[in-house]
Amino acid sequence: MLRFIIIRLLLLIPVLLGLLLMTFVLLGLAEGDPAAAIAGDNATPEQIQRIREELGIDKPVIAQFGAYVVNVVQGDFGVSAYSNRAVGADIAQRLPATLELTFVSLLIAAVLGIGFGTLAALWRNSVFDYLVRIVSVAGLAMASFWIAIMLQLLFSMQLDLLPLRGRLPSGMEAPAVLTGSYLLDSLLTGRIDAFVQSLRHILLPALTISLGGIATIARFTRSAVVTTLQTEYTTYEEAAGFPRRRIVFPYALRNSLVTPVTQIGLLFGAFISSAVAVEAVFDWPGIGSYLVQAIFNSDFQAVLAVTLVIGAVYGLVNIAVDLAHALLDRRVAERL
Amino acid sequence: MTDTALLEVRDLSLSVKTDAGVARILDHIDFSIRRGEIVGLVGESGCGKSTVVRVLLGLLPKGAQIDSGRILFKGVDLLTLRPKDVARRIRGRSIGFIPQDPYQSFNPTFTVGKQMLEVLRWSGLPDEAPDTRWTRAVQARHRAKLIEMLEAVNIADPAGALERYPHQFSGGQRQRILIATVLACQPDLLLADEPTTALDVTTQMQILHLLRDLALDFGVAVMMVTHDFGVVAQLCDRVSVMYAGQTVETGTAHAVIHQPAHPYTERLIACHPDLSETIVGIPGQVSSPINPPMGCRFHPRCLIATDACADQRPVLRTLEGAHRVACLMREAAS
Amino acid sequence: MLIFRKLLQDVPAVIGLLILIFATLIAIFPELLVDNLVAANRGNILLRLQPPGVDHWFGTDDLGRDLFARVVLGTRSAIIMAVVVVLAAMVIGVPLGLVAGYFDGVVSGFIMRVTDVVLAVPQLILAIAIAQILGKGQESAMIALAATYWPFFTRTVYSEARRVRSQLFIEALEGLGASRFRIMAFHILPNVAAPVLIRATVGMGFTILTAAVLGFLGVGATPPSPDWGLAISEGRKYLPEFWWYATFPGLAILLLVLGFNLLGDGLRDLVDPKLRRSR
Repeated sequence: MLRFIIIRLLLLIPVLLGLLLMTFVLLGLAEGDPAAAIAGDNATPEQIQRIREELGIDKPVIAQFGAYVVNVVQGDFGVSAYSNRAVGADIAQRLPATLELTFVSLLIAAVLGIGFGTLAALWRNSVFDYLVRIVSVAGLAMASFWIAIMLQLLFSMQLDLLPLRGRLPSGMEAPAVLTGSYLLDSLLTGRIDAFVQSLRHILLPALTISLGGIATIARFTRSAVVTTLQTEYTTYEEAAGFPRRRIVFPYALRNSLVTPVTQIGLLFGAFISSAVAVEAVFDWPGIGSYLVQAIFNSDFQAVLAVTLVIGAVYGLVNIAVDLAHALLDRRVAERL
Repeated sequence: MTDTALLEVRDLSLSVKTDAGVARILDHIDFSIRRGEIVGLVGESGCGKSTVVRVLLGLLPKGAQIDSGRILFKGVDLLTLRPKDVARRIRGRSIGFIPQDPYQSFNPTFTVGKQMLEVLRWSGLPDEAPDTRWTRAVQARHRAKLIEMLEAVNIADPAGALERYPHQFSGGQRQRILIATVLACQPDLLLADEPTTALDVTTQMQILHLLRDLALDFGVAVMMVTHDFGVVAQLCDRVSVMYAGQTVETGTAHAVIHQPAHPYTERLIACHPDLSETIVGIPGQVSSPINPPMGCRFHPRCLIATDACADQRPVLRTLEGAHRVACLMREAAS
Repeated sequence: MLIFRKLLQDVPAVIGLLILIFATLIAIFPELLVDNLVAANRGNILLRLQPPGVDHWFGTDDLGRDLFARVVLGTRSAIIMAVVVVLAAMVIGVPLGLVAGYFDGVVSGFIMRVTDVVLAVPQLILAIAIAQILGKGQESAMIALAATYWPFFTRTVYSEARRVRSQLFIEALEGLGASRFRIMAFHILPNVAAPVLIRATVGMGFTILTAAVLGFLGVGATPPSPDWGLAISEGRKYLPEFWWYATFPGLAILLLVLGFNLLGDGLRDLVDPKLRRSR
């Protein structure tokens, strides 16, 4: 299993290098000649040259790229031309909020998706089955930012049940940082008030983001459970006297989870994408809303840094998903 | 004879509602199995053999309905029991099952040990009451028994085998594991549904002999479902031949093989290279159960059929001792 | 045509098809539904933020423009974006996938590595970065979406081409001396047509969603375009009193994407019954 993880991590390196090259090129396209821009209109060629040397852009492109890679690996994404703050530090401060949001969404999507999918398969062609089908088709057709607004309109503005924005009520002190997740940190430090509040705050954004995931997972789970219940080993289990509930759980279910689990990697990408707009709607202080701010301020440095960070997180999540797949089905691990 | 029978299937008929109409899958099935004997249930695919197995296990196919008959198992009619009681007291516990395809019969995502211990959990060891709780002590006992049985079927390193996954075993090994498990529960009756068709020829014979030897050792009766009279000749004490959902001939294996009375049996035996000098196939295929031919269901494919055969349904009649046949032409001859 | 008749038996797919036909019709002839197209673009400040009613079915926006007319007009830009982006992505992605799938070697390896890199970031994120650098506007949004969507076609075509290539008849053709171009164009391409068609159908729905996000975030269409995403971001400022402003454009997105998804599912069922919904 360790070998499996190491191989996958090594395979990620060339992809991330390619990604760096892409952002490097895009950055170059975006900035034009930064030395000329900094020096201003009346600068002499000598002044521009001096600035070029200071910025390190007089060197060959390869060397510049090398320096860029070294910097990024050290977490140095440069200084934002807009805010004059270190982009890396801003992202590091905001990343935990986004990760908490996406993982809670993933959890909701997995629990509800697998639950609904399994029940729909067991009660095939029942009213419940049709309902799940309709909801899952519609769930994939809704723009997440619009759902975010609609949920906000209903639950926060009209019914006043759940908070409108943020991670905590304004004025409430955040729990001490242990993991970066307010839910976990508040539990670990015994701040029940903060836990309840963060739960209330995360509910709507997480539900919004998970909607498409619930639909996808329910669909794959349903078809997998239906297929598994028609296999010969299910027949054998019946004949050997297994009660129905044991046949379904854990035997049919673990097998059926293989397909939905492989979908979670793709879903995570979709979740991060929806998080961008959903964070903006709910003022969630993560890298999604940071990206939106950066767009608004034409802060290229920040936009590309977020792209890179998301690429890296996405790659790691996909490795984790492959690992889960291998744990569910040993034949996968042996194939590698 | 009847009083020593372990299982008696009398006049069993079953039909299934399909989109195309009602299909009579089983039509007046009739056979019996005594304690400790091996009985072959023979017929081409699609003649209802597997349905018989399912009914005996209390697992009716969807939309199926019993039209008539009794299944007396140790003197109790299984058809009158509540499904819950069949599940609790009969299936897996008194009637064990060996599946057809050992490759497809293991769940690939669990270890062999986990699955086989679960089998023992629901069937229990012979001295355990139906509702024994699955405590650690019981599990340890099951485990020890399973290891002992795996040794008996020649699985190397039985304790290690339990921790491995199904794909790490060959088909023959998997079938040995399934046999070991089912025999650990010591059922009175073992239903083996073509247990070797998925295996290669050399393994087939090993598995069959292993199964026979162990069944004799444990005193377990076996119903061997097969389409192969060679298997019957090697293994079975008695045999019951099915065609299109009907029992057409039953008797001792010796009598049926050497003096087949039904034209269908004759031709099945003629298909087998070891039992016949000239190999002849049977033209046509098993008739559809939705619109079966009138009269004898075999008559469209029968070489000696007369007009009467298309008209009148033959019933099982005793020829000699326990040898019985359902054929109008035989009746006329005797 | 048999395929088409089979598709017509699939009720959800037919619903999807009807939605798409309807949407295409009003995209080409918006006057079918809207009498006064001028009112869609020229506001009347006296009529701003009117609730839905007989005069204005969906109400009016902050500039007093009729929201129904604007939603109808938005259909055109949504469909144009979906079709242009997906076609462009196909034109780039399909040949690359064919080449990579049919040949072995450096070029094929390079194509697939580039595909990996582009797919290493969720499409929307990369599209935002590219659109941002290209500058605001619908055109740059379309370029950014096409530039990030082609790898999906490359992947699809690549794996199908690999599968087909390993089949015997391709070997037989090679043995007979058929040119590689002929084999690709006349034997492999028709085999990958079905998955590409499904991918394209679902991709159009997906592109509408992504384009709406770009519009909502301000890297897509710019005012006074009747873009749905843009309208939702404008309408958001007037919640909760003027709820209709943000609600109706979102419903329009839902309906159109639903059309593409239902049709895509129907097509997938025809080709790959593994994920069949009924059964």
